[in-house]
Amino acid sequence: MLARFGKSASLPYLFVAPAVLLLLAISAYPIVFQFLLSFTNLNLAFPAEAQRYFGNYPRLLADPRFWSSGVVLVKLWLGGLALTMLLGTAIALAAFRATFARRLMPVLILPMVATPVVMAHFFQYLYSSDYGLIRFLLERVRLYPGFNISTQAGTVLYSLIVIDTWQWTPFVMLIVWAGLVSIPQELLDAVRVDGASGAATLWHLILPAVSGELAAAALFRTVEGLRAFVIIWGLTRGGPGTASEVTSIYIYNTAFRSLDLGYAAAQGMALLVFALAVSLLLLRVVARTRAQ
Amino acid sequence: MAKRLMLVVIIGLLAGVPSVSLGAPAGPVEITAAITLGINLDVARPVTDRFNASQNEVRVKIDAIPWTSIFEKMMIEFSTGRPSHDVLMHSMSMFPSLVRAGYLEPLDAYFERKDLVDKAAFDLKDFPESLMPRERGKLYHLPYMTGPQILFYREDLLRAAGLGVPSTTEEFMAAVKRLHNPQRGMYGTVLHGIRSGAGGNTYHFYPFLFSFGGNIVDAQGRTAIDSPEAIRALEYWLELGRNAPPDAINFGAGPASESMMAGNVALMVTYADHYARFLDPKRSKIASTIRWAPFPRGPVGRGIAVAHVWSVSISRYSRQKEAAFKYIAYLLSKQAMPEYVKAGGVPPRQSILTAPDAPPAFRLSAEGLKTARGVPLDHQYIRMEEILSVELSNALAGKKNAAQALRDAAAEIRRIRGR
Repeated sequence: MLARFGKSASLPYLFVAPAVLLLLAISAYPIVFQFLLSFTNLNLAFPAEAQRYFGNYPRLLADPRFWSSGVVLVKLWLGGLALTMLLGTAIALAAFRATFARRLMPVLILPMVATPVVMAHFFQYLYSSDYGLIRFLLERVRLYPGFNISTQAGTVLYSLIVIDTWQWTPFVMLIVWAGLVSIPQELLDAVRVDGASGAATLWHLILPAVSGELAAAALFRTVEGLRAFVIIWGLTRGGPGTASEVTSIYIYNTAFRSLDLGYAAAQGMALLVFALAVSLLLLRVVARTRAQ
Repeated sequence: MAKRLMLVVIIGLLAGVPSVSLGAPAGPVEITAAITLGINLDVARPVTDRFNASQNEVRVKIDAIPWTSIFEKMMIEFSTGRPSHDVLMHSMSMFPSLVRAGYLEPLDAYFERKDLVDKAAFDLKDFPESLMPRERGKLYHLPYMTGPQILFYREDLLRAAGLGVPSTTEEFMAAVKRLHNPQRGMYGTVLHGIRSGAGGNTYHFYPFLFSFGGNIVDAQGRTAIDSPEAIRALEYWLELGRNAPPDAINFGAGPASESMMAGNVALMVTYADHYARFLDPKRSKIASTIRWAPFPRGPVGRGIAVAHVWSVSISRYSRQKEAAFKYIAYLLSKQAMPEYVKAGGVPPRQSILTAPDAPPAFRLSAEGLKTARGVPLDHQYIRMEEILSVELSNALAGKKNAAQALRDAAAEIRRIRGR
């Protein structure tokens, strides 16, 4: 049987087909199911009464809380993305030649592997206006604003961006580091011999060389950022008011407090489309930078 | 003929028939109980072990589930029509949705079965009425763990300030303001400010709401959360918030009690079942100075706590309903109470709460339960709670005043309920 395919070009595809099909089934089935669900008025309290319903998407367009949760999500995502990219790249650039930095690697990746629920509680203590370490340190440098930033509607997003940055900067650093170590040493030496300044070397050689890694890191951070839920839930539950209510928290409330699963599915689809659009855009950037 | 007989024997063997037809002893019926983590599980585990050891007919397997996710887990499982639990635990907030959806089995008929329970010995009347809401006259659950809100206070601080134990909401506010001294690391009180139900801001607000004469819905079932009494209650609650740790807007019941145990708070209102942790010298700096009193009387002349309770029910889809009933009847039986109390639970039985040797917090719970009030038996209740929790959080954050917050909450609740 296999002999017949032996010289066929389709043989490799045949071998990977089961895995691809399985993967498709696992990832595509929930999305298709959710899409179909979004055209129903399924309420978890009365599942037998579910009917076909086309009103969820028009309702979504007119729901101010959904849009405000989207704005909160975008602010949080962009804030976290910008800071982690900047700090991760800076630390990688500063440390990739230092041997001690390699030894510190296991410590540096600790925040990345910490459980989000534990981190939420950890930061609740760190931010405490009574005995929090952050208050103590900020007071030392006379920068303490006089309140816990996670408890004020105007500053709660900053407190979440700080946690996001603390957790994901090592991840960006690792990816950029991997790009930096792949730049040939001879190239760097040649540039130095030619008299290029540090800034020029960074701008014209190093950053273009790691641009693929930077784009990939931004892509991963985007996927992670748009899924934000656990830490926010653990720290503020979306409050004060709705100041830190990101879309996934609103979806959770719609599904499991309002029990309105059909509408929650429509909200989830909208978030999925947005995340997909942003990810595809970033994938194009990754592909383009790799081609260059 | 012989071939046909052989075929029947083979099919019988394959189907496992001999285990019945040859008279081999049938094993115990296995049931699964969904129990929430924390004190509910701490109590259920030893009592369940005792039940399993005491008879050979039923074996109970506990599935421990965080209380924060048990509701969604149950609702999703029920909506598929194939839930995996025979017995489930739920809070007062969850009960209306579960019962109105028809997911729970009525218990009345089982209590009439002498082969399942000795009804007289079980003594249903031993449970406070406020914890036994009936849906269309039928009983769907047995109260498992209770803890109406009571007042906890630091005796040393009150005495040093020459203050008596507050018995009214006015005295409570006066004591809170007098002892509030954040510069010295002492707050007058602490709130459960975080958005949420039982562990969060709504349930902390309700006793003040009720004691000021307000309610969530009125006697006709109309939304009443924006009544003048409710607005006055929220203004009072927000004033308490101004004399509480500024971080309290993110505090659930746990962190609020921790700030009390750390010695930073003078008086607080919280669930009676927190008494054990306050008295634990390993965890609490105030173990020797903490005291408790009934929830202060409000303008209506009484202190009305929330009839907060975790209950157990039988799933309508259970295939072992009789076994499930035997289990819950044992779990809440008088016979199981010594084990229950030893494990640290606050049982909903009046006879235990008022026993001469009961801890003082038990007696206060019993007192509180006499006037305690539940939440509306509305299948949208949990959604109403979410709407109110957001507006309470807005008010606590200073984004809205009391009247605006409650009017916005009421408008949204009326929109979804239609009244």
